[in-house]
Amino acid sequence: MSSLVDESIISDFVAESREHLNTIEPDLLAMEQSGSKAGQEVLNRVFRAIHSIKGGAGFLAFERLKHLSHTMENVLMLIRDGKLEADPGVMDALLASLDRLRAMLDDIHDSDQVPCEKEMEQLRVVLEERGHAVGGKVSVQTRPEDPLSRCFDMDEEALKSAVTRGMHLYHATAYLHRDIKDKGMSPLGFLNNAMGVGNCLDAFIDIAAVAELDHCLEQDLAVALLFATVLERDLAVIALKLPEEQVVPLDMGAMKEKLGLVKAAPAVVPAPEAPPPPPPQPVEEIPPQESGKNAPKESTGQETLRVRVDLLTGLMNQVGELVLGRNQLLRALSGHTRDIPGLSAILQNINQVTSELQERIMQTRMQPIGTVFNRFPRIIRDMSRALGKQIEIQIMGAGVELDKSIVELLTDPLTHIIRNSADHAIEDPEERLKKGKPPAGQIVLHAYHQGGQVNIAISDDGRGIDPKRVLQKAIAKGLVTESKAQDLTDREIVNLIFAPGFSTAETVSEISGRGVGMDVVRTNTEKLGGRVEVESELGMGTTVLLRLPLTLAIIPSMIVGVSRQRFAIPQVNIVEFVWIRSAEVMTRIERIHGAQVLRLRDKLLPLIRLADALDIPRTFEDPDTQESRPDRRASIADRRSPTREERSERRLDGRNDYSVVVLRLGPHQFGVIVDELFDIEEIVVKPLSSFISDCKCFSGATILGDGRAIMILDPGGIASLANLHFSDIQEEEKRRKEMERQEAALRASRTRSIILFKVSEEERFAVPQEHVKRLERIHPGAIERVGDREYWKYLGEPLPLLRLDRLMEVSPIPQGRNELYLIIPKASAEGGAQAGIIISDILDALDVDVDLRPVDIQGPGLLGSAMVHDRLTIFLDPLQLVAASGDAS
Amino acid sequence: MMTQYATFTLNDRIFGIEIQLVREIIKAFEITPVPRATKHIRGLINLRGQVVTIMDLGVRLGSPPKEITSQSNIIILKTTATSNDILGLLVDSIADVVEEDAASAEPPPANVTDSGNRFLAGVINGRTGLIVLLKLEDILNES
Repeated sequence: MSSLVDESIISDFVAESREHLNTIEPDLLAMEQSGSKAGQEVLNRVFRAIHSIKGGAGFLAFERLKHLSHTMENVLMLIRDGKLEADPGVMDALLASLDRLRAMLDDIHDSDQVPCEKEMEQLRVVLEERGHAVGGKVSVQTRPEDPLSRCFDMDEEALKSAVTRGMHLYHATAYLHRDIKDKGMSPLGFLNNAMGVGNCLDAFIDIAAVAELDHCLEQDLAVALLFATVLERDLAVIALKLPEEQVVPLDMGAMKEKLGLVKAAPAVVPAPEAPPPPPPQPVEEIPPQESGKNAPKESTGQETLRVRVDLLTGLMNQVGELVLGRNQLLRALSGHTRDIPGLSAILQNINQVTSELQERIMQTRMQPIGTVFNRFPRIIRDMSRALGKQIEIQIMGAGVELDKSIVELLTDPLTHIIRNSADHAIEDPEERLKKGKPPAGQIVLHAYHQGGQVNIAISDDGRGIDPKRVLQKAIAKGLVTESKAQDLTDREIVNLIFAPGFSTAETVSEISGRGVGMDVVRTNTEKLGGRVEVESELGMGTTVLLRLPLTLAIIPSMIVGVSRQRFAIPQVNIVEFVWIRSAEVMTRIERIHGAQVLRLRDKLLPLIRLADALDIPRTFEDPDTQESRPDRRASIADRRSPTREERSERRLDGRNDYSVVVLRLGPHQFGVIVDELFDIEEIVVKPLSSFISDCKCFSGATILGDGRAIMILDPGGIASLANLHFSDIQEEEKRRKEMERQEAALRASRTRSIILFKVSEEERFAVPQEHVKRLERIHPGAIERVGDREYWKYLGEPLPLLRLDRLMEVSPIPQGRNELYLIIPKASAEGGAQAGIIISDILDALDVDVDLRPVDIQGPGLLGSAMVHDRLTIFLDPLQLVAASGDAS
Repeated sequence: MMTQYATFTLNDRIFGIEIQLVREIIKAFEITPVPRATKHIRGLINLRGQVVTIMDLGVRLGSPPKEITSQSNIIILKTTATSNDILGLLVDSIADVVEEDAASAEPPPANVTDSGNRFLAGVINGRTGLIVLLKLEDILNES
């Protein structure tokens, strides 16, 4: 049958039907969520969509498709008429059928082979359980005496529903070409139009009509419709846009009799113009689904063209070339703007138009992220049913646009993350209630622009990830060493779930469920030039953040130079640039296990010479061996432009200034030494030729603004070629940190609080504060003498005094001082003698960190000497002094 | 069956390649070397916005690499069904297009013992002299 119909009509039908299915899926979910309160509009939209699929399928003689959609329609009708609750069981049946319809559309010509018994059975059970027999098929003969009479098959329910709602039945005949295509409609458009004013109960291709009428010559197909509407015939004719003779009314009286509805007559009376009676339910606002935007009504309003993707890809590539061509043109002519009048205006114009063109063409490939997001309500719904959980999903920023290829590649990682959230993160309702959370878990999908990138955050309010458990697992799996683990922050630990080999199925539930194949998520995201991070608060929830570029085809890249060759490094891989002056080279670059390492802030970065990694002869000398001078000379001689040579000469003088590009590689960073840094350019990525792809260090090629073809570096490849061992470096980093800690501790122990004083102008002395009990200012007259011993009255007792010049070879206190000071040491632990040390001045009390050296002078209590405030200072132990003076007495 | 061959020289020998396989012939210009690539991959060029990989045919046939001269040419090959890569062959200089009988090709002389021997398909004693024919498939097959 379908061979009678244009292939283009079929493909239109398939495309339109797919769109229908996509729009009503969220509607169905909305219906389930809000039950009978789902807006009438939502219900009608679903109904219309299924209906028009049914109509089209009947039209094009796809029997099974028609049959299934028809049965779905019956169920929907019961819901609409308030005879059936949209409970999960019903929705299961409808959604399963929806999937089956999709499968049929995917393979439309063999759609009759697609098994749908299971779905039909489900729908049948739904219908029967609610006491609505499905079996009730009625045949409606239009006008038995008329040769044009046709026999329509339909469900009794459908017919009853139409009749009780006061509708008129018509047998309408539409000719595919004359009535539909020639009027600029598609068959589905025609059906949609009919659906707007009534109800199409049955439709099929009317072979008999073709044979009987003259139109057989034109090969025009007739389509027979059984049409139910509240409109009177003359209005129905206008509404259907058909010639009057092709719309034949059916005898309603006979129909009612046949259906045993005569007694229900009052219900049939309403005025023909009146709209169908509104359903008993109050119409409430449609739940906040994105679906509203994609309503079929609107899609007809916007003028669109279907364009093949490869055509757009081709355009995209060409415009990329155009951009490069423009750059070359601008460069070539930049010196001539003065010579040629008007040139600069022309160039500016070309420049601007090209940029705009590029932007527009990029836009054609942009797709709203919603095309991926919209599948998740369904997934979540199915999963929450299966898992016995209550999960609500909220979608924000579905309109954010990304390159089509990225949108497509995002589907898997996002599905993965969402399934993980639903499966493992969100708790059972009881558990949630116990924790004081609402019983329904929330998953929020949020897409937004930030800094020229698109971020997608997937948050849940579930269990969160326990860093301790992740760490245990990671250590058990050998992903981190225990010693290293101590340095990790919780955030770093949680992000270990992305490490390859982290997760296995059985760990999943233990650690609250993130982790199955999260490394795959990361790999996929990085393949797209994006990054992924996770943030989690135990017990509160988890957020996975994907950062993605807007487009894959054009990427901003840093152009670097090594030995006169240039390479591009995608900016997304670059962390920062570091310039190391020759003077700093010795202090900032060192060797660990034979590898060069850059000390950058508190981190150690493995350092690679790009020239070495790429096996290009170096053009400047090795600071260790200084051997590569001949190489360097040779290449300098090679250089053509004098400016370059000059610059190189300067570098020769500067000896070894380094430009380091710090690259990101998963969780690690490393530095790459290059000779020159050029500009950041937007480059068009070209795939690698198979002759080169085994070099491993490149991810593609590109053509620069000056027309030169260059390679794009792949950080992973470079790191592996250079044999980078991040673990060694990390061990070393850890060891150093440990050392620093120890040193700091040691320093702290060596730091002394001292009291600085002098006895005369000659020497400086210091005593540890900890040994000093008291400092006193005294008047020389208050010193009492007994023989050559001196005392001072302290706390009512005579305190023996001692002078340093009597104990060691130092200068005495000058005569004639008006006041003196006493240092009274703490009593020793053994409770030995007490004494005060007479000094002339207290200079300072301070903390010093000094190494004491031996002193030359002789005497007791000498700890050593050191420089304090740039003066040689003798450190004394007052306790020993006191003890010594006691001995001496 | 007469076949048209594009002939070119490499180390003073004349080689031929079926003209059907040739997309175009261009003057050799700046070739961007590709580090760590196999020796006979000379590098990349930008051919009107397309990146073309250049194979040094001389090196492929076993001789050391040579400087590019004003005589050097690149033979851009047509893409094949199996590969979208565009490949160019770097040769010493390009010569005439000749028409010869492919059936008259004889196996390569046994005294040609250089390592490139395995890439030689045969020799045609043409009007302009001996033309060595290459097994292009083998040459392009990395192994």
